Amino acid sequence: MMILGEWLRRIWYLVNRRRFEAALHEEMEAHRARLGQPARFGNTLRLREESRDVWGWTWLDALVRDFRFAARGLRRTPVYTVVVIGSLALGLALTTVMVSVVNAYLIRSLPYPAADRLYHVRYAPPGPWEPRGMTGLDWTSVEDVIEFPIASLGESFYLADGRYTVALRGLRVTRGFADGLGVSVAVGRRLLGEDFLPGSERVALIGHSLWRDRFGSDPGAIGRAIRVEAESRPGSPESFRIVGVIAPGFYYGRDSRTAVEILVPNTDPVRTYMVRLRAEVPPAIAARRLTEAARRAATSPIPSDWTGVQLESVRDRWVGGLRPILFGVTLAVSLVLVIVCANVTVLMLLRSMRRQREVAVRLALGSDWWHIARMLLTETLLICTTALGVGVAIATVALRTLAPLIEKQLGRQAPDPSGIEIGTTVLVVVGGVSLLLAVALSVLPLTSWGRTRTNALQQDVRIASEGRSMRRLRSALVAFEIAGSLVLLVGCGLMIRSVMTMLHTDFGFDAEGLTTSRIMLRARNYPNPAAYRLLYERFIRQVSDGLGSRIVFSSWPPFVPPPTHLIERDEGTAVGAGFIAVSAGYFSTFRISLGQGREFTAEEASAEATVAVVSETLAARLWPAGDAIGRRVRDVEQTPGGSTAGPWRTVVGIARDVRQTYDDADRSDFYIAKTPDGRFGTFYARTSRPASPLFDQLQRAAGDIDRDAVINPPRPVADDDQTRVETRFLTRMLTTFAASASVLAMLGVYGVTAYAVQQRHKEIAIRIALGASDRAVMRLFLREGVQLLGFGTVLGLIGATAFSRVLSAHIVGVQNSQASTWVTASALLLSAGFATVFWAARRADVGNPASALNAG
Amino acid sequence: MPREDGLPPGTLVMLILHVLTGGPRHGYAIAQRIHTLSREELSVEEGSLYPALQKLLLKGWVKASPAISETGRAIREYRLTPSGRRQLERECANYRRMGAAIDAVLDTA
Repeated sequence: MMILGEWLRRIWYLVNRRRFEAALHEEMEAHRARLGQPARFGNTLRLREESRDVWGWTWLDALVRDFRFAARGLRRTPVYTVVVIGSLALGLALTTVMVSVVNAYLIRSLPYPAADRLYHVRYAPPGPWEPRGMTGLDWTSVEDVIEFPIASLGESFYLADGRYTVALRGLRVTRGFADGLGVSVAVGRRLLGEDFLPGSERVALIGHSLWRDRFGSDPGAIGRAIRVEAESRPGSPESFRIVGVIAPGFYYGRDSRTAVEILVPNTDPVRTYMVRLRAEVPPAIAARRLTEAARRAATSPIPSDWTGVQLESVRDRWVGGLRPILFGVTLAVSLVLVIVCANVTVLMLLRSMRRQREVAVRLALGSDWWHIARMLLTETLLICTTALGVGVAIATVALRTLAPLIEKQLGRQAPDPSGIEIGTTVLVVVGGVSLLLAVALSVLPLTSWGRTRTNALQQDVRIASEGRSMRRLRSALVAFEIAGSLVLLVGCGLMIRSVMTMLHTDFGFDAEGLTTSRIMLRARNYPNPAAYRLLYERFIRQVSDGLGSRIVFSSWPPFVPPPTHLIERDEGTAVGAGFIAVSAGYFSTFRISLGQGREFTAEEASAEATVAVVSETLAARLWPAGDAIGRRVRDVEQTPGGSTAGPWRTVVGIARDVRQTYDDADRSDFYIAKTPDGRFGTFYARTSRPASPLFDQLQRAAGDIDRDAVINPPRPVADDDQTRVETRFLTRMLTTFAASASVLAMLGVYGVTAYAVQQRHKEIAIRIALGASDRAVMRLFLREGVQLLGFGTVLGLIGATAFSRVLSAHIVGVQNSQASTWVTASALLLSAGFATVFWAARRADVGNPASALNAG
Repeated sequence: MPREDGLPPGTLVMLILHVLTGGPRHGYAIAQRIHTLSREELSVEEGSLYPALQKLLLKGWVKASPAISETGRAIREYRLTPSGRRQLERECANYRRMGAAIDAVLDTA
């Protein structure tokens, strides 16, 4: 209480300081005036200061004074101030953007409560086999380790109240799902326990986008009924009462990036593929307990080599693919920031040299080292704070346009409704970084003053200051900058090369200009497979006529390895190969050339004729003699129940090898002729028509044949090439970084050379007066500059070796043995550096040596 | 108070508090009072009163209110607060105890 009162009085004093001090002054003067001998009163100024000290705000005064002094000093050297603050702001802006991205994707958790306790459940390694009876797993027996079993069934709900039928991405979810993922709502209420009881009213939550698009964000939508037909229950439309709108940003799916449009309670038994562990439970223990529970629940014999239930962190799976790319970017940004710092340090060192006389005067007047250190620290702090403000402002503006682009480039939305933003965490991190910078940047100039003695005043400081060690330090810093820039340039070169390699990678087909979409039909309209096929054939004819180019169906998309079947030739030899069913015209539409033979006809696809096309690799493996055409072959599909053999087919064509990934090792593929005969069909067209009119045309064509048919919006096939998209993104980032780093390094080289020229002005004048030619003087500086560049390059090549190793370990197609990239990057940097040195050294032209000597 | 010439350290605060028990006074009056009461023995550098008064204000032992001096100038009058009174008692007791102890040592030696 005492302390609190004291502090309140202190603050009261601070607020009313002027008044207090005036009153004290007046009081003391009145007192002094009444004394016969005013000297008995003592030194008024000193006494007033002592009185002020009692209130304890002197440090604040000192601070304000220091800041004012620093600001005045900086104002006197506007170019220096702008360059230093500008480059630091640039570096901090990059850091802010990078930290926000990393924070959004890697640090901040998924949009679920306790996301670090969410785990995917795998009952068996990926493949066809999984123990049966897992829907009956007794979750109450593992209640002590598992907080919520989270289960859902994906379901398409057809909504047919508009012009076309649309499919809504829906989920039937268990109570554990609603609680464990904390499905929150923007409007209305959440799902409650009673919603999951059998016989309760059927309720639904709708997605935010559905609410916006269908209901115009009307809060009155709550309570209304929505009538849909579920994919799994054809012919029996269901009606749900809308009780809430899912908060925007709720995602759920294989990798948590699918927005849910309708979410309804599920009461049927369902297999659980996700759990939330109780706090403090190690996943290994939970996995062991789940394995025991799974053994008890299994209704089919479990093989002896069963590895048991495995848990995989949801977060790891979510960010796993992004980690290398974000790591690369972080590395690059850190390097840029370090280069910025080196540059600023060089500039500060140069400035501190010039201020040596001032420091000497201060020391002579009795200032102590602590005071001088404080002065310097205040100045750097002022610079860093301003730079931080400017940097965060730049980052805020930049992120407004960049955030959607970054999300698109990374191929997934940031896992939070607020997305990539500059929040408290980011500000704390970046603020900490700039504080560290301020301290680090003060150290070197301070040591440069370490040997300043008051006798420096008697000498010509401008010459005396140029100590050998200081010059070395400065040169080392600039060499370091050159090295860092070279590292970034080499990295950037390697990335560009890898993108070039990717662009030139022959996938065996031409993805550019290919568009894909999907058609979904409703089972009740089609009594048998033949009816489906009839529709697809009519659809193909109708759309192909309208587009002027053929649309083709395929059972498997490009860029994804197809399922492997065993391929047997009649002699009894079998090899594994990718199995794809395609419709007529597939090879010509995909531009996969046929080395021999022909592609499937429409009749063959329609009749599922017993013909096959094999890839060159498969043909060579099965018939090394090269006589594949006309041979007999069949596929054998292996399932947990045993293997199913297809009919014997005749090879009618040999197609060029197709890659599914950049490092696809096995290019054996087996194609059969088949127009789809099921509820879904994915089709491709080679067209230049823009997406929106194309979508309209496809919907019209499908709607003419079947009003219930649903078409997905078409999108370019090339977008599926995620590797290329990511690499291109990283390349762009690295190019930006390398360019800014190089500019900064050149600034450093220029600064150091120009300063050296200025320092040796008199020496040059003497040399010229003694008969040295301009060229000889120039050579003097060029030699030093070249030494600097050479040293930096060697250092940079060593750093680049490490950096390229990191890159090549993480990014497809990057090889660190591309000598030409190294040579090009070094040559680029060296020539830019040489030009800069030359430019700076031209200042060595002193004109008339006599006047130069006199001027000093 | 670093410059309480002639005063044992820390006693100026106690003296001021004591003087104020007689009622509110301004700075000059406090100095005069100490001077008189000490039979002109204690000659304090009078200005050092003011830093001490600031400490008393900060601690909440005295309160200041504006007043006009006999010569017609704006000054402040200081008044003892209850906590100041308690502080005075504590300091006096301390001082007496110390004094007695020092006396005892001096007597026996």
